[in-house]
Amino acid sequence: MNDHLEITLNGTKQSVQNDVMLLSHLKENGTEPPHLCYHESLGALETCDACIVKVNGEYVRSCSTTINEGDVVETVGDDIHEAQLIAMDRILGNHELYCTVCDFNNGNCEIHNTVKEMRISHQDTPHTGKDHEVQRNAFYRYDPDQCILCGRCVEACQDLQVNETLLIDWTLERPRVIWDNDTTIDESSCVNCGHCSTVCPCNAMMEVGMEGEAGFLTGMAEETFRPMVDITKDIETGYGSLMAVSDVEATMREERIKKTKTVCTYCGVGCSFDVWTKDREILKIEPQEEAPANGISTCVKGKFGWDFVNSEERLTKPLIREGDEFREAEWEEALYLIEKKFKENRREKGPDSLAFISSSKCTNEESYLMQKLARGVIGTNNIDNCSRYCQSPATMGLWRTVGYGGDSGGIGDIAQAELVISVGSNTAESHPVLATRVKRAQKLHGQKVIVADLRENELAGRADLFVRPAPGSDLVWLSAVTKYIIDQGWDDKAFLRDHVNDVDEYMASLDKYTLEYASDVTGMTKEELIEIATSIHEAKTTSILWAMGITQHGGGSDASTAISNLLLVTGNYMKPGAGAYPLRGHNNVQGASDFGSMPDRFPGYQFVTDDDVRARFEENWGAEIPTEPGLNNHEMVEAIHEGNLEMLYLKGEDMGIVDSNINYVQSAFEKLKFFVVQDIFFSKTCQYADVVLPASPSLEKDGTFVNTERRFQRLYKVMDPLGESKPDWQIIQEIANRMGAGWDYSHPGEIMDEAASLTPLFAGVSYDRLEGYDSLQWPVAEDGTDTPLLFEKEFPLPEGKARLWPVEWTKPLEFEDQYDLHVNNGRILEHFHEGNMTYKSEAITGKTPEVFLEVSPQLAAERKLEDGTKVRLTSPYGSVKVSCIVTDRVFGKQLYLPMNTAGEGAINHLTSSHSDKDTDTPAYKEVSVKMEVLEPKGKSPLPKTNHRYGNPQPQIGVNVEEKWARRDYIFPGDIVKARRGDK
Amino acid sequence: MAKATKVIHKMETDPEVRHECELRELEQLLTNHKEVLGDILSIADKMKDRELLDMMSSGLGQGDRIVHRIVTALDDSETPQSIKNALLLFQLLGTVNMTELEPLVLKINTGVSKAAEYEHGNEKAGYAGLIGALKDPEVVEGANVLLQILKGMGTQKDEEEHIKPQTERVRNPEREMDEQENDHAEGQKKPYGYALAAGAGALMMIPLILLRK
Repeated sequence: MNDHLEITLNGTKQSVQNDVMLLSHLKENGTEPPHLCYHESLGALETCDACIVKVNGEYVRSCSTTINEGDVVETVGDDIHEAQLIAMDRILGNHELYCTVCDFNNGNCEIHNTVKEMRISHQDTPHTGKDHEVQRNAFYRYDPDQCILCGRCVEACQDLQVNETLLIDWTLERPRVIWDNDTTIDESSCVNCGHCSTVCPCNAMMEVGMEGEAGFLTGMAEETFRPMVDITKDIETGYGSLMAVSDVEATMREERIKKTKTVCTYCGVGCSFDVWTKDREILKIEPQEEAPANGISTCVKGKFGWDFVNSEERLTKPLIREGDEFREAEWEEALYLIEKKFKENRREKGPDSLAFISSSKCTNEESYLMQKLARGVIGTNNIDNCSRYCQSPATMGLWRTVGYGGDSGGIGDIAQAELVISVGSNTAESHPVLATRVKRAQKLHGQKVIVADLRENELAGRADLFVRPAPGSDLVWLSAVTKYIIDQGWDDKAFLRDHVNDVDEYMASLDKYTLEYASDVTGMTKEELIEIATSIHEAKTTSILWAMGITQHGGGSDASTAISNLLLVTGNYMKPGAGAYPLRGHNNVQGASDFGSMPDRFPGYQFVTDDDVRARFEENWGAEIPTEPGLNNHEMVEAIHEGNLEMLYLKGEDMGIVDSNINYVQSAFEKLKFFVVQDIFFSKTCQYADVVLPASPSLEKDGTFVNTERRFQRLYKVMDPLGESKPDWQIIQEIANRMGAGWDYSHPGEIMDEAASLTPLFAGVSYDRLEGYDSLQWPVAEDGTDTPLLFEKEFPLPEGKARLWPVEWTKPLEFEDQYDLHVNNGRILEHFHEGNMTYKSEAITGKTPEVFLEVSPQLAAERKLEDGTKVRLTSPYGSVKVSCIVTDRVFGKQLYLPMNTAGEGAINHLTSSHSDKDTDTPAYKEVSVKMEVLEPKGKSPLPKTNHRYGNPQPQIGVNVEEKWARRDYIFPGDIVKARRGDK
Repeated sequence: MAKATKVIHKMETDPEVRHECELRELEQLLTNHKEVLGDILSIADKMKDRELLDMMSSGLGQGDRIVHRIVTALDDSETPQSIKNALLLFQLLGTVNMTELEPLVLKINTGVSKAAEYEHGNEKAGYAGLIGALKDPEVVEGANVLLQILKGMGTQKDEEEHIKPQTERVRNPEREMDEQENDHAEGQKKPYGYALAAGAGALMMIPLILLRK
């Protein structure tokens, strides 16, 4: 087939790319017809009819028309214009133009702009309402009287977010958008991801943060609004003057509404978007198509979860402990105290009596400075970050087998994989935007999805195959599937020969992983194991996603290794759509380690024990760096208890809640001689500090994050730091300089330049190359060439070959019989981590006010539990009190306790200090408890307005065929044809 | 041994120190904008004299109620019509060619002067007198000018009309597309014959108008 076709466009012959729709070609060509329902990220919806052109003499919608060889295309002409006007007239019958007093009048209203471009001065069909009230909740609102029924919101909800809540009811006399079975937004399955308001071309579906705030004339009382609109329409003489006046007003808005690009500070997907602010007030989050990781997608947290930035609970002044109390202090006093204490201890006990913990919430530059402070100023390698709690085992598994500890490709590769296997990952709640790509690929493009999890999470519910291996047994079934594939002769022999070492040794290690053994250990059937193996064999590309269900076990690194082994055996590396995808949990889990906040590695994973590397850093920093690795987080807690570590400087992490076995951790904090905590809120960990320093969140500073795709993205300062809080990099610099460092960074870009100059892995990264929405995926060569597909020609291991790494199964912790219930734990969609940011959002908290315990219907029947029953769970390490929800998402004697609380339901009261044997990542998932009913009846912890009680209505797209079948619908082209025919 | 505590004592800033600090900031601000502030205060003085400041203060204090009252009153009155007319007039001014209009205005002025000088009954009225007046070259010239005006008035200019208010259009739904449809169906009408007939008829009326008392 030819790549290009010859067509005649408005009388001129031209060459056209073969696989594009006509509208796309016309847009590129500068002959773009008007259009309102078409959206680059959604494709052709065919609802608005405004893009009508003529092809070979017939009127067609250009958005959905494919181009054929020899087509004669006309885009101009009285008749074409007439057809387009008919379409626009119908739209204006659904949408009232009161632009000057509309909050959406910000230069981007597509109806306004189309009316202006088409020079429409008036309309034939009078605007009339749809006889239905405005729908609203705390996040967004829908005004049916402004809705043009383009269906973008429905398409986004059905096929992009794939939440399947929105529909247009075409059977109504006046069709409108409905939620589930025509219920309210709050009682529906809507997850408030914001896709609908993002893609709406006008003010029909709009964020409530915009209401009455965006315009100069829009904040009027409700009863004044209608007469004001009437007056406006009365005195504005035709749409020409309306457009002019509203354009002026829109231009004025640009003076006071600031639009700043940032990167989301929640999960590791790395969504980027514009933040619209008026002073410190956040009007809305506006995703952009050019955002590399997420495009126009967001989840509820990224779209609406920013109230915490202006929370009254923010720390705005340093605090100094006096006895059992804190008092606010000036920066000078707090910094002097830190300087004095650090210097004293270093002098008296040596630099290794101090330790530093960086945060995966903070920027790369801040992570870099924290490790530079530890190593280059204090003189210790006691530096770690909180990815130790989650992702270190995944990184270890990949280092062992393929040499780089990062995702094999990007989110686009996951979307294009023929087979996606998700293991121990609650992807739809933990990485919501990434999950949308899987859900969409499965729904629209036939991607096969296999989920292995204890709990029927959303992706599991949608999966083609959902298996429930016994807790902590994944290594066994992964290895058994690998062995079965080899036994069947399905292994990729050419790939193994050309790109993999240690094959024979590995294959010999698989002998014991028979289907029988695996079935015995995991509880999975042989058929399930064979189906998984067959699916991998039949798929050209397989991507495996995994998260904490794999890593947070005693054998987390080994299970991660088993995943990579399976991918190597089947040749699922070195090609688009395939590979290993450990889904990073926090926004900058990847970057925190990339930039050297690890006890044994400099930035770019260069070993501190490597003399050449160390010499390079010493020369640049003008300091002597210790030669031996320092302590990781887990070892630091032990060292405090043993009396070998006396001072700790921790930033951006509520370690007192999120580390495992928190009773043990908190008692360690009590033993510290001096403890500095830097945070934006007064966290549980702050309660143990001697000095608390007020830091600034991402919106108040410049910097970069690296997302789960290894992608560097810039965030720009949206607003000034609140009160006397400061960006972490400035605080670290002030402390370093008091310790004699003499640093002089005036902007994080200078820190990045220094880090890049010392780190081959991202030598070519600079702020200039990350302008706006530009991004780079490491490795980045000095000339700025990045690496979207991590392995193309070779692996960064000896001989350029990957290596198969034999692994043994580590049995999970065993508990006494009295601890008869297994507690699975992890995230939920609405809240993040311990919840110190998301609970500050009134809207989110209204939907999900507190933590809850999921119990199975079987267990509920056995123990007489119901929604609202309060129970105490007790493990050998502690206990929690929490209210129950009965749900079939969990099975039998398995419970699910979300981690999102710092209160009496905090999961880490139950967890132990047991950890992954290779990385010391806590084995959070190995918990068993006994249950005691405290209050048999009580208020349900989950209100009925939570989306989990909704009733989704799956369909493909907007069902435009139903619109076309309506008796009152005639295709505008047919009307024009009839008129012309009558002539 | 640092026990966990949530007790935080807020810093009590000495009011005098804070006042001193704020005064210093204010002083700096005033110095930096000395000239502008002088001008603003001068204007404010005048506004104060005319009680404008009191009015503004009251108006802002009761802003929502006042805006609602005004908007409701405006919506029920002829005021929108006045504003609309003003806007329409403003738009109309843009269509007038002032260069061409100037000689005509001068002529009309002269005509007005002559009309002012004219006294009823001083001259002999009647058709003969009127026909006699037609010999006057100035009268012939005037009639020619009037004829040209009438001719122009008869020309079809609907398609150039573009200052219809929105609500009027919604209330009177014979719309652009209908007009366009008619245009397409019937083609462009040639209005010249009708215009000339209308012009001639009007011309015939002139003597009658002039004869009216």
